[in-house]
Amino acid sequence: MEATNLNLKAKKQNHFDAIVIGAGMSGSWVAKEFCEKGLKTLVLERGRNIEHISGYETAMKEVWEFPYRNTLSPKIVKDNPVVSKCYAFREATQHHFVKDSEHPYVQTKPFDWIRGYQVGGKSLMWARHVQRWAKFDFEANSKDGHGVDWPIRYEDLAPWYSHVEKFAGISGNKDGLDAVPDGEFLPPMPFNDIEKHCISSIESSFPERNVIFARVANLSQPHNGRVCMYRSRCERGCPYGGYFSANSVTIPAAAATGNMTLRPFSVVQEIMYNNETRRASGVRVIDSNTKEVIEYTANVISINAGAINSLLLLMNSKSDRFPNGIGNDSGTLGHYLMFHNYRIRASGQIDDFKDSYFFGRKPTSLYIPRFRNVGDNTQKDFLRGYSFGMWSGRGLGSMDKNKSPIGADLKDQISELGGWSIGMTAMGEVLPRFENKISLSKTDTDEWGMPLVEIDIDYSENEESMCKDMMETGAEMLEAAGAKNVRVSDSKQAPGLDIHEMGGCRMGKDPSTSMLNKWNQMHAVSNVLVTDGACMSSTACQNPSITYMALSARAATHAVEELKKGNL
Amino acid sequence: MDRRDALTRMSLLLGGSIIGAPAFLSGCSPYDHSSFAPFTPDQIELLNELGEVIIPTTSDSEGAKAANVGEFMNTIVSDFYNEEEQNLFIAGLSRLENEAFSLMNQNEKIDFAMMLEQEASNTDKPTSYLMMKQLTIWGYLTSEPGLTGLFDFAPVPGQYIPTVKYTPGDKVMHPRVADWQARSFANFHSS
Repeated sequence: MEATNLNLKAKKQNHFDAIVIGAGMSGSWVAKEFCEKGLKTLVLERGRNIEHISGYETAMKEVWEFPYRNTLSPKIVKDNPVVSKCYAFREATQHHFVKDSEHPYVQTKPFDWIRGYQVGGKSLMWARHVQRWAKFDFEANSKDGHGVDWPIRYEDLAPWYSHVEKFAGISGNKDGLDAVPDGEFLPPMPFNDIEKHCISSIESSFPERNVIFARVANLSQPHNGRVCMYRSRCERGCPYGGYFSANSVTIPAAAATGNMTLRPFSVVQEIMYNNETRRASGVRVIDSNTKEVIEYTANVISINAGAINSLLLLMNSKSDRFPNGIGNDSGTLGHYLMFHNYRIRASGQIDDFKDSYFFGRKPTSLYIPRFRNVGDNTQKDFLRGYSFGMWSGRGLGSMDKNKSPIGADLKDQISELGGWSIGMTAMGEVLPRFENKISLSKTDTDEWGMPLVEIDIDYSENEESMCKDMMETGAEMLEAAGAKNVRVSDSKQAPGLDIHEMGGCRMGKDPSTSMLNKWNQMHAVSNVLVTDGACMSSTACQNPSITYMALSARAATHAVEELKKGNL
Repeated sequence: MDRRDALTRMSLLLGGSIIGAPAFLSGCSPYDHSSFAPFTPDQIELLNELGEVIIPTTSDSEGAKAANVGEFMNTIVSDFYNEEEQNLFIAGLSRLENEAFSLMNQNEKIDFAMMLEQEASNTDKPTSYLMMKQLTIWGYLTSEPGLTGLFDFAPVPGQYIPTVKYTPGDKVMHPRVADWQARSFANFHSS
């Protein structure tokens, strides 16, 4: 009898209205919406907690305080061949990234999996570009037949883009372009002389192309007590809250309701399914410190572990009803995994504007929205399109052969500014394909007993053809801007380094060909939501996080309405 | 400007290959650092003195010695250089010791450094002096004396002013790319 009583008590303590798995970019939005609407919510995070401000251990360190002056030593590179490829992985930020040896995975084909296991997830170190999707992006699958039709359209998501933009704080200009619809923007940060030059020279040479201020989740003016100080050290965590991260915005909002229980060091092994109710009943968690196994129950469960880890969890949640992973009646779980094609870069030098410089380190760049297969433009060699991020800058170093190579003369030369450089990185849409997939290892598990993920994903002909076009248009636009020594390169980088893994648990209208309905609920298990990158039915070419955020807020709000109606 | 472009541009500008560039970019060599013996305090002081000739204290800013570039060289030679590079560097250090560099007066030190510059410009191969010069510049341009002395360091700018008139010699805001770039000043004037 006593034991039964204890169990009942434990069960009561371990029951919540809602569980959110993953405290990053998307999960923190679900948590915020749940908590603000009154749900007692358990937020499970596999990594450690990082508190806003006090948790940013390198935020105020100067370069001379790092032994290797904020570069990577050969040993770090040798020990971490994957994560050291990431542009943001530096001496000052490496504690925000998963080291290669810590969480192994199987590369059936090369895949650079960049991860951040902590409260905040990758929202701590993200690139902060937040272009909305276009109307045509939601229609693309339907139009050309690749992938399943999205069950929503731009109009369904537009109010939710507004909802998250207003709270997160987005700086941008209302450019009136179909390819990147306008939103709820704080003022843009001003253009410097070289940026103005790039805009006017490229737009006048190519009337159908636009060069704009990249809408960015950094605050150009004070917003809810936060503001950007133009330090450009975002990836360390910002003590001024100058950009959106879960740590600085959504987790504190969820916590302020008093309804959130945040549990770090919690690796979720399985979603438990109840055959009688035909609902998920809860989750089984292993504490990564104590190895204790704990079960939590809830009325609704949202999965936001980061696309590939969300897929792993779903595929590992097997039952008599779902022998191939929870909700997987369609056989599509783990398939149609996607990424973005970031292989092509172009750069060159500008001789002019030597007397012009700027003050402050603007944490964003220019953006060239998609112009291929848009409106009247039709490409015969590839479907869909790409955008460009465009940077500019001046480094150090004026060369003067008449000056001494040492002494005060050298000091002058290394402290004077060199010429301007400009450059672009192409960001291309990748088609959804059944053969791009993850599977679970039948032989190897990690230290928590989870099967290792096997990642099997590659470029297709459409992406290769798009690369050729990116190289041509990148070079011609730099030349139009007057750049000298234009260099165009194909990094041939493996998928993954874009850090935009998407799909594998896609939304769709038809339960026989998709996993999730238009509210991000599983077709087959309506109290399970998936609102991170795994839910995506196509990739478009925009940086995806703002779309995850909007989908998350929308799905969470709908789930609460359904709960209140007694439908979940 | 990304790291690769910063490096490439400097490499073009300086007309030569860059010591340690592969490791800097993303590749790696199977370095074994276990056999490296740290420099003695006297050797670090000697490297600081050579550094001070390369980047001296001037009226408006401190020099390489204040930045303790000798200690920085010890770290980098130990943890970044392969054995061949370490041996070349150590041979150069022995030469400074044998030539009693630290006992020279200021003009003799400058003449000696200029002779090493000349030697370096007569060969395509990296010399120990160029290594020392590279590490002096890298260490100095990432040090507190260097950054606060030569630049408006501005760790917290607080605002963005899109256009500021620039004339060579102005003390400007330290560029974002300069941390990466500092490492690439290797073969300055060597071609």
